[in-house]
Amino acid sequence: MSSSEIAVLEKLIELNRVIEVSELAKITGFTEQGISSILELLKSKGIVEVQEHIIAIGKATEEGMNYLDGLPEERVAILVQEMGGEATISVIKNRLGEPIASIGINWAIKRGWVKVDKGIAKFINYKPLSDHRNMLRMFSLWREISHDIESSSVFQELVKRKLIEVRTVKRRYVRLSISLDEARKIIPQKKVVSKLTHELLTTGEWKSCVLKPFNLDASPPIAYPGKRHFFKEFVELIKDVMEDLGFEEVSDDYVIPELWNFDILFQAQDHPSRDIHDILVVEGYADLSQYSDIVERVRRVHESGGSCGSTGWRYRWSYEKASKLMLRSHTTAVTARRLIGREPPARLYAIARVFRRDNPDPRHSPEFTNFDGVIMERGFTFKKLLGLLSQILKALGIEKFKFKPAYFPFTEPSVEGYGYVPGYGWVEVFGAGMFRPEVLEMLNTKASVGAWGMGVERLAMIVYGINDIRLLFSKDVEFIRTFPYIKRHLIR
Amino acid sequence: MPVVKVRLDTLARLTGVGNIEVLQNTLFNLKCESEIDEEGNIAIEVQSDRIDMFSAEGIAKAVRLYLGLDKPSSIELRGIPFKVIVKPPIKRPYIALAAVTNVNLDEEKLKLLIDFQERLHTTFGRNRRKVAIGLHDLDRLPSPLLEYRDVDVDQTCMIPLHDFREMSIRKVLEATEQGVLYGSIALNENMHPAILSEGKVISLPPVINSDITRLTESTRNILIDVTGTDVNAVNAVLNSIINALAFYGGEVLGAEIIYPETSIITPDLKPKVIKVDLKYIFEWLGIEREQVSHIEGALNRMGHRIISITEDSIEVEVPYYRNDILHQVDIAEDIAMGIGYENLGFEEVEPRLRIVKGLSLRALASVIREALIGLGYAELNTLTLVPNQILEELGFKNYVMVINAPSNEINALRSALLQSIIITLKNSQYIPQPVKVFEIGEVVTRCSTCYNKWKNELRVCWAIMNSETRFEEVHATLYAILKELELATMLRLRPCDIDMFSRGRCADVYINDTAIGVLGEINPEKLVKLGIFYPITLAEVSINILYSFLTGKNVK
Repeated sequence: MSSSEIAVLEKLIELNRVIEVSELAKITGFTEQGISSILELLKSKGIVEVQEHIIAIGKATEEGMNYLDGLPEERVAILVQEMGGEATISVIKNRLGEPIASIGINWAIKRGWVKVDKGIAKFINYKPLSDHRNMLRMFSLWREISHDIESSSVFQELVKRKLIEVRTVKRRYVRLSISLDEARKIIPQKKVVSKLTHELLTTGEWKSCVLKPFNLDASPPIAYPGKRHFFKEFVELIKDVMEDLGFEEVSDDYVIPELWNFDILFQAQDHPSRDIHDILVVEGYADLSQYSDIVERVRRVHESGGSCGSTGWRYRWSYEKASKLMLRSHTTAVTARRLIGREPPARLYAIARVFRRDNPDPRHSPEFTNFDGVIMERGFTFKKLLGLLSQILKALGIEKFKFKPAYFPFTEPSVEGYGYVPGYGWVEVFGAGMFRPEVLEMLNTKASVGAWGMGVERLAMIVYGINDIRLLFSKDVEFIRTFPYIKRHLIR
Repeated sequence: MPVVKVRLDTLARLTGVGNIEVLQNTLFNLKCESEIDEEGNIAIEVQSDRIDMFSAEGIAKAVRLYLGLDKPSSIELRGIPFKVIVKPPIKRPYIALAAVTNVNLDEEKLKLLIDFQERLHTTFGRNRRKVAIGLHDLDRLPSPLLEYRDVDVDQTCMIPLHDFREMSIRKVLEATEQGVLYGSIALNENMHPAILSEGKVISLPPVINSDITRLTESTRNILIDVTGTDVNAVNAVLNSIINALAFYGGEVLGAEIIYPETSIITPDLKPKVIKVDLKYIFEWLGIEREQVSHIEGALNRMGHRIISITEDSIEVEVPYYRNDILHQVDIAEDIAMGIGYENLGFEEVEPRLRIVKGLSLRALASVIREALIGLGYAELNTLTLVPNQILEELGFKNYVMVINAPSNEINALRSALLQSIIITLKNSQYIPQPVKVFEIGEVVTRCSTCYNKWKNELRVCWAIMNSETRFEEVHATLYAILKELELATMLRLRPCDIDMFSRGRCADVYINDTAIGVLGEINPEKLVKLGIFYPITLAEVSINILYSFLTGKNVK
């Protein structure tokens, strides 16, 4: 017997079951053609039997794969429902495009989800087709069709709609036609082993063994490394840059009174950005009694400018409004508050979540990450602030930048920093400025303060080449654990 | 931010600047981003504090000044022909009035003017609640003697704009589009503010004007009324409109506003004089004393005039239309803009050595993170905002509800990290298993002793979802992490009784006698209810508590 016949026979003994020829080929590392001729030899010696079966296999078609997130009729039904239960056919076509719209309308009618009358689709009801979608997902790769599946109505419908393609293949199965003991006797003394073991080494048995060659063509099982989230890595990078510049991280709660979010930053109480259409509000009021001296300063500055030489907002300041609880909408609320009571010099930064009243879409998230910093030093000037901002930009890998005058209620002068990202263009990176004297008086600081803030996700999206902010908060673990690690090193 | 859209050739004509690059650069230096579309329009994003630049004419004036094509100048009233007798309406007590002659409207000017009015209404005017503007054809005004007072809505009639029928004010409020939109702002029972001339209603602020004084493309002279709840805002808006209309070179006429106790003249076109401390400017901006010679030019480019100058200070005349100068620091910014930010130069700051005392929260979190990554977990980055329905289904009670959430998917803040993790796993059931994930993140919990009622806490949660339970692996991970922190020998697990976990298959995690978290297998009943069909085992531990335990300090 040849060594390849022995190898195959050994495998069959080891497996001790009926096995498909192609699987055996894979396990033993022979080509299908190679294994067929070996089996032919073994068969002629009366050692194995080979039998043929015809089986059906299936796979979702390209169209089927496109419907993993929703079949056309589901999209139609949801759209009509969202539009208040009625939509014209042309609107549906506009929103969903062809041919999705037409297919979807036909099937939605068939399912009794909508009815169409004079070009207007009316919503009746809708039941998610999760069985259909799960079935499509199951067939994302070629697989055998079991009897259960074949007889299910969902499967039959998907085949009929050409969302799953069915083929038949010939399968050949092989098994030993002699007993295991008889088979073992045929194997000559020199053993072929697939694994070198501790035991073989200690007993010295390895000397009488032949190690089976590796099958270099077989694809390995998928392994997922433990992995840092790419966005959190970007945040860590910024933290490293700030700590290198001597900044200390500060934090605060998400639920804070408007006092810290707005009033302390000289935002007038009727300023449009304080509107409940822009911020997220929490029931109740904070107890500001332990902050009475700050509150008093805030009142004086807002109403009449305090003693810093400002006119103030010349209105009646409301304590109640300042106590209202909200989810902070920027982290300047954190850095500014943490300056209270500090002696210069101080370098503080915060990089944490903030909240706005936005519905999620590719460019907006109701919650995102703000990076904010303040620097309080005697003799700190606007010119130094521009210098510091340029240092941070450079540390983040942005070599080319420009500064534009801007307006923020709490800084003067105010500036927006634009960075040039090769292959993308000019991007607004941050807003910054010198805290106004009114703000300094409210914070009771003893030196001038430069401050800046930026949204982190927008920059991360550009760096990582992601065009939908929601992907940074993805609930799909597969997306996260297969996000190529190498992209992280494209930063800097 | 407000956007002024105008034809590029119109703006070129108004500014006298034909070079687009020069124009856009100047706008950039005046805080405005601009974009030119294919149809030859330029859209200019203006800053909300500069209401004088909410009009194309106001922008043109600022550009001309910045480029030195105009010098700062002031204007004076050519007469005070109007009298307004005011019985202050309860809900809208203030009015200001003026006229500008020789504006000579045409189709484009009229459109720019109406856009400008609308921009002021929606932004600075807070949708007409704070300030509203009425524009009239002066030549159709019945008499220069006017009244501003509340009128009875049933007993007073007017012809609303673009109509020909006379109707009661009540009808105007109920039947016109503006009436429906703005009718409730100033209505006080059955009284509503009105401006009358010769007994006829010419305006129903803040709702609609009368058709009697309607502006047309052939209007030559314009009367402006501004009403509102804040006298400073009312005057500021009137001045910004005069600034735009006077651009065409006409004369400005004023009004005597006679309140019951006092009387004033509007508009107030006197420049505001502000004394600026030079040392303050140098120290604030970081410019050198040698650059003092540039200050006058810079101020002129921004529309200001220096009226006196000494070694230590200057007196600056701020033009009447600038409403945004609250403090000398605002003059400092104008000086910086006049010089040009790009000409100021930078001064880099010295990196400062920071002495880190003891363990930081970040360092502690990083030890835990490294351990979990080494054990093959993938890190998540989830939202704190979650649907409260899931929290209820898992049996959580004390959590922050968002009152005005835009959707039920994001109407609560998580009170435990495992809530976000379970939501993620629910969405990741059809991927190769096991699914091993973790997150380090903040949760918000009730705090009855806190001034703000709710406090943040940093936690870590790790979980395994697989075709079968992996309790040992989750437990082993806990042990491995605590070993990295040299706390493993103090680990105690005590049986817990939490609805969310299967009975007898969960534990409260203690370090000696300090509770730090939980460990357990999610109850199959909950799993199925949430639509999850794979077992999930997880653990959640408070990093804040670990930090206090290790350092004896509380997290600030």
